[in-house]
Amino acid sequence: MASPAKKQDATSRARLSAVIKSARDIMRKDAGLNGDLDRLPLLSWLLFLRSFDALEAEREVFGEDPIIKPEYQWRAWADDETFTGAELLAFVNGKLLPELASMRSDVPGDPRNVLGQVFAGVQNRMLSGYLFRDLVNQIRGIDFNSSDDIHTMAFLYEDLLKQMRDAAGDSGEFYTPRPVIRFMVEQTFLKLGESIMDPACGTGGFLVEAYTELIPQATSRVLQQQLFNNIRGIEKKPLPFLLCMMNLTLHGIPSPKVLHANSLRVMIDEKGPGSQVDVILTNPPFGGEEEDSIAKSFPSGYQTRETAWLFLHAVIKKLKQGGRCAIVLPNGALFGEGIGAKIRKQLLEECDLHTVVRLPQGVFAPYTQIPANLLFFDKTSPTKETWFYEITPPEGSRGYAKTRPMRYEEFESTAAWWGGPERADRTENDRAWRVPIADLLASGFNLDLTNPNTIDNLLHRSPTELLAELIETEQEVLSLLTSLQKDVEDR
Amino acid sequence: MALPERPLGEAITLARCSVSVNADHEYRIAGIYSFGKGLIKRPTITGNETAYKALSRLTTGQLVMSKLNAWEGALAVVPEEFSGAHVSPEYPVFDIIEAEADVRYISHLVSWPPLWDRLTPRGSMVRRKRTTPATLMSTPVPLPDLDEQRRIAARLDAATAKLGELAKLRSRAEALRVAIRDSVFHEEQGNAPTRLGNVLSLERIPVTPQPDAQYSQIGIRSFGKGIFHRPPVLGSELSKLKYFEIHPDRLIVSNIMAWEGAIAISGTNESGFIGSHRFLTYRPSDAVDIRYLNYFFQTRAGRDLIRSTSTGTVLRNQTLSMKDFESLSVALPSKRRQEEIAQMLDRLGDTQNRSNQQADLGVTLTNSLLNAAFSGRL
Repeated sequence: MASPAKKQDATSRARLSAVIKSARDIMRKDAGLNGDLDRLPLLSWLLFLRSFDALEAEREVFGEDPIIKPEYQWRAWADDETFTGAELLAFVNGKLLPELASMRSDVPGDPRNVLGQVFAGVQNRMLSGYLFRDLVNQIRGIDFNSSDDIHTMAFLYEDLLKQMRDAAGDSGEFYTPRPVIRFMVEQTFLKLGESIMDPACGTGGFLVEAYTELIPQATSRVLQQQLFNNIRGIEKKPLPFLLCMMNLTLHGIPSPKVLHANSLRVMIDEKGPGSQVDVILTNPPFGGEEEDSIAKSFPSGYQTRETAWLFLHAVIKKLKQGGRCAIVLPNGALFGEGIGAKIRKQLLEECDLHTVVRLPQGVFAPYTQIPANLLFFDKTSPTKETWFYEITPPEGSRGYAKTRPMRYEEFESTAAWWGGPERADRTENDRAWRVPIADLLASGFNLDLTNPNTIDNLLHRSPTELLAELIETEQEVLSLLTSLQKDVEDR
Repeated sequence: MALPERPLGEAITLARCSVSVNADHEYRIAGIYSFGKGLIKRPTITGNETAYKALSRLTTGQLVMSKLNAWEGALAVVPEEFSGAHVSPEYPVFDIIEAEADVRYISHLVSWPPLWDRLTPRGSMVRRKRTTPATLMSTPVPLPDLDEQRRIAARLDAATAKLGELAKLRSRAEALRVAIRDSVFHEEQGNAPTRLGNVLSLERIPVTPQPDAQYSQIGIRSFGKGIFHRPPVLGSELSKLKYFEIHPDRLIVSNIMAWEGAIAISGTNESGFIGSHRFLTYRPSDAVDIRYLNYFFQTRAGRDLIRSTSTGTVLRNQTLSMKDFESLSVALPSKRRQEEIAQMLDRLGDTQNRSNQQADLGVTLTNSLLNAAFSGRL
């Protein structure tokens, strides 16, 4: 039965979705914007300013000073409908954006720092001031004072991000499918009060999911504030960073703890227990290459340009003793000699790699067909045994694609098998198998293990025995064909 | 004796099974494969994930078709497991009139390719028109009396069941062949490990491309699927890579794709071909049969061995260096034993090729059975 709240949600969603659609249509007409990679940032920072203005209004009510100077506030320039054309464009490009980008404060947690960071990489590519005015007018139609609108906006916004994945995907940025994120967050069993970090947070998928999982438990203002501080991210590229800030702000985190920086550099530089975290959830860029200076600042013996390995190494260091991690790694990172083997050895010696979930090919389509794995480990004790779980595409499906993405239901049996935070009563079945540490050591830390319960694993039988079975099978083929012939002839 | 033909509409009627979409409800969705391959499970969706206002709910024994793809056999009778699934309005659903037609008979009939041709609406290939329910119903089809339909259906059922069983046996046999190969090498693991560099020597005979001459390059398919020939190009169109001559009876290793089994043996067919520096060409010494090595590298153990040295970054450039390849050690039995194994595996491969031909014949057989059935010869 549809509750009244739900109904309202659906109508405001339809209304907002119409606003966004008109906004995009307006942007399509502009000569300066090419594709969603140009349009989305523009829409994002306008929405950001609009939502920030709602916060400013709230501050005023409590008698606090505004953060943005009055003449640059959204309501000062956006609400004046006669302010348009070249005049408006000159104001935005020449005054507004430089002003916002230059905002800074020495007080940690001051929203001015967030603004300065967000707008540091922002440029306006729109060429027509009149279209810009039309766009602003559309966005004025969204009421950020109603909490309903903010939630719906967040939802729609993620939808937009999903559409943008077509435009991304270069340079090893792979949008993590939502079901994968949800599964990883759920199987990490987050608790309120834990610090949660994604060192390659992209547009903030893991952070938003972790936040929405925990926010219902944060019942007091103090707990909420603590949660805001505990959700942390680092992103290297300006566009995903902007989108991530937007994404978190729209979900209700007033000044998100997201750094715009090279995460590997940050993680190397930050030493000492104070900077360590309880939980890391991440899908690091793989197949990317790091500049030499970053690779060189890793301890000797762990220097490589491959980002996936650098991240794995840095993540192990970044975890508190007793901390937990869920990380996406491509198949290629699970085998091979050299530095990769060394880092896997370190992983098995310093952490308890309790579970490896092997995903089928194409989960990250259309970016890559490479099969990926979800590694879950605790920084508690050396690994004693590792459970492998193989997820196969649903019956009848020939794998995943952009239009046939993986669905959360496909994780359900894995989640049921998991055994809760204690991983109790795990059993081997046709998808799950257990590998003792001795076997992993013997194979040279190879984690790219195939399911032993499949038919092609008949090695333990002799060729003679197998040949006998093959002949038997072929004889069955023959007798079946003979009987078929008889059937057809026998009329 | 030819079967009497009547419009299909005498045996089916449009079904009333449309349900209006409710945003909160979940709907199990089905689609139809082309070429008479039946229905396909699509993900379950909630009402707000579709723009359709109504969907059709399927029941066992109904006939469903795709307006867009009926011309290439996207029609099927609903089996038990799809009962309760939904299809979009693009897929008209029909009830089969039990007094006129046998469900099994109709099911075979709609998988008969000549029927699909009859559904092809007039119009150019590019702008093919949809097949409407009216077109389907007015199409004349072989439709004898009920008893005869049942008799034909029973015979086709029996034959289809056997053909299905055959396909299963064949894939079982294929898996066994792979297992035999792996197992044969497993038994040889006790032999002394021999460094590949000691039994193989790199052969590099450079080619200086002449702009006006034609050159044919080789390529190697992954997973042991052998060498293929690229179309000939003029010397002036070759890229800036270095090229070398390919001679018969060499073990050729693609240094970028070796990790997924891009290794093959050149034959006389490759005489006169060239390969870029990406293809490491090895001449065997007297101590080794390259067929043995080639088979070994297609086994899981062999692939793992190659992968263990194919370094580089994770996603790309899993390059196998010449030095690393040559310093790999492989358990090598006596030359005679290598030859025996290679011959045995060659013969095993022949049986696989025969089996593949048999599988192709199986498809033809199915169609031929249907033709016989619907022209009254079964």
